[in-house]
Amino acid sequence: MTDSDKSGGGLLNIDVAAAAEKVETELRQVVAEDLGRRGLVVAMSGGVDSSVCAGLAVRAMGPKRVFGLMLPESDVEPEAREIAEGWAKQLGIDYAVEDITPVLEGCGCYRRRDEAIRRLVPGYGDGWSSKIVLPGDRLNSDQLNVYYLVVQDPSGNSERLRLPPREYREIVAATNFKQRARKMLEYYHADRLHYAVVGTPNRLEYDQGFFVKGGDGLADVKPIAHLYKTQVYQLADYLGVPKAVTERAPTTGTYSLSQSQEEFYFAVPTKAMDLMLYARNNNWTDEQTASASGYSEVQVGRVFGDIEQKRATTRYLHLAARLIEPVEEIE
Amino acid sequence: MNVQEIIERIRSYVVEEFLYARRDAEVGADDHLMAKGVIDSMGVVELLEFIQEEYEITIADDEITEENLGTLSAIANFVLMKRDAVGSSA
Repeated sequence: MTDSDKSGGGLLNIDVAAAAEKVETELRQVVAEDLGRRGLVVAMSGGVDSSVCAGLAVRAMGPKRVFGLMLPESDVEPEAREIAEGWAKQLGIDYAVEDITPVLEGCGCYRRRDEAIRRLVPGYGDGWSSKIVLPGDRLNSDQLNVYYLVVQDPSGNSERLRLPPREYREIVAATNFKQRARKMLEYYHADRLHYAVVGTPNRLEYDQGFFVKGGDGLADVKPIAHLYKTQVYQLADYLGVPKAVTERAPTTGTYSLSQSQEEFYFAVPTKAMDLMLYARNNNWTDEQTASASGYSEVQVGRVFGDIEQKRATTRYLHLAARLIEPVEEIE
Repeated sequence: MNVQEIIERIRSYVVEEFLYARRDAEVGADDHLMAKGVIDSMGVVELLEFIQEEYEITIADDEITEENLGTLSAIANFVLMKRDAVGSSA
């Protein structure tokens, strides 16, 4: 059994029709009654999460009350946008393609990021690409999480360096412009249409703080934040999301070098991570989880520890603005 | 330089950098810094840089573990071990 196959069998299977109906019913309630809005804006990356959200939004509100947004930039391959457009057309929704590269250039996203990289790799420049990765293999390693920069020169030679804190923070801060620029445009369209903005994190991302505060973490409603990634794929099949979406290897779509969520953040294969999170949430012991997953108790212990550490580290991302004194008329 | 001196120096750094709003907080020599919420993942990276610069040692990737860096005592013993290794190879 390979690591990627260890998904605990059908433990995470859901009644997809019931799950979809629940989301659709709640979406209508939230949008029309709670938020007083007339439709939904969905930023569609070409990935399975946003594609499922768009599908659910259309079933909840009808295609005339869903607006799709494709928000490409120069570090993301065009294939993703093409896939997203194809699904939007299939859903019959209005949509717009807004290239955020000029916005990112204007706020110095690429310049700030590259300046930080050049302090470590002086030759970094045109034709180079980069990404950030974790040590990897959380299952088999006790190494604490520190980040590494991987750079690739125009000839294809690559190098990996451990990131000092200042450069790590500056690269991440600069890169976070991408998620925040996208959200700015989502809310522009939401304001002009009087719509609400959909956030598309799945449960793994939401729970483990894999989002940018004020970026992809900002939304009016998050229809799939309670669903494990495995379940999102089940819904995708049910909704008829194209195989171009569901069979595409998920990437973060954030760095110029292709980067998976596993190497950037989770350090564990997605299916394994789903099961580990499910086990943790249901108070399984290390032994029970090992038995269900096929991993050793030591491996399970490492992942459980990592889950809790990420929850602690990213707790601040979930917090709303704190008031010094409550404003009871509004609370 | 002995274990206690290193513990005090690291403790001082941790309090200054991470507990600046809780100056009266106590960090025991054997308190697990991450489990106790004193530092998070970002803190690990910053602590790593501080230790390397302060004690002029290089910490290899596979040495970045809870065992070596998880408590003030562990850090102090790890630093002394690394400096001894540098000294004996000089």
